[in-house]
Amino acid sequence: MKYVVTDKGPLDRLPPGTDVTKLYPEATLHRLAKEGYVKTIGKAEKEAKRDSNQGNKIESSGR
Amino acid sequence: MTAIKGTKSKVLVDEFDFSGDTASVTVTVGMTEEDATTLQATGAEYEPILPSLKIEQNGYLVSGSDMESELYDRLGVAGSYVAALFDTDVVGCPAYIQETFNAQMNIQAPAKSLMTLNGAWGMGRGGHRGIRIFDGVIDATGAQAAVDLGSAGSDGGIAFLFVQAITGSASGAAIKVQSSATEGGTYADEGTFTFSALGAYAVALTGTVNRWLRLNTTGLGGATDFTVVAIVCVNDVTQ
Repeated sequence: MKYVVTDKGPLDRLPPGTDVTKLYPEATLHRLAKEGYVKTIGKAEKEAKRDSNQGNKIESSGR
Repeated sequence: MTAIKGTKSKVLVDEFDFSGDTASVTVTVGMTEEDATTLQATGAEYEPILPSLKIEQNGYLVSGSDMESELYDRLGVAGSYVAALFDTDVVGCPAYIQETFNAQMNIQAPAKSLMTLNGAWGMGRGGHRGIRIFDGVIDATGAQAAVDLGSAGSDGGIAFLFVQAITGSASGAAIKVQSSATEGGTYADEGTFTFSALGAYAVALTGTVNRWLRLNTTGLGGATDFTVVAIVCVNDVTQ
């Protein structure tokens, strides 16, 4: 799971979209997420992306 | 690009604005470094250790001015707040502040020229860089216009209030520093200055500080008005 700056930023001069997973301690990331300054991009989002791609793969298989 | 005239600067010492007695102010921000060169290095390597801030002011001995006596009183006496502000026509201009003592005074009285008073403030307890969010007279409770820091900060900071004049007397006057994610949004309290006398005051800020900053006076403490300068320093944003 990774954390990125939301559109509420910039945060600490980091623009929205910056991956801050390794920049802050876990407790700080949770606080910032609660305040809306960072959001998680994690497993659930990755699975949703994979599922939406599967249809394309089947269509492109040519069967 | 338009370079800024040196006259667009100010030097504040506690409740005093010595800009009118000062011909030049110099701020030196330094960083100590240590040799960290290792085997197989292709060149010398150094690591930054600790920052330092030094403020020096050169000026004139002005008849009737407090500068000579106030600088002398602060010679070696810790606890003064000294601020140097630059590009002062701009609302959120940069400012350098340190809690310090007067480390040096040099008075020259040439027969054919003006008396000069030059001094250097000690490096004191580190230093801070922030932006000015207010400079003027407050004569009623309520919020002042907000200033945009450009970015929120996640790790607190420190705010300074230089109380330069009080009309009447103030007992427990209170001014809050507030922040919001947007200019017209909801403002959260970040810290409160409470004062009853002239001087400079500091209040720590903790946690997240949103990008729009303002003063909000909740009590005049019985005074008719006061003249203040407020500077806010936010970690990882201004310092």
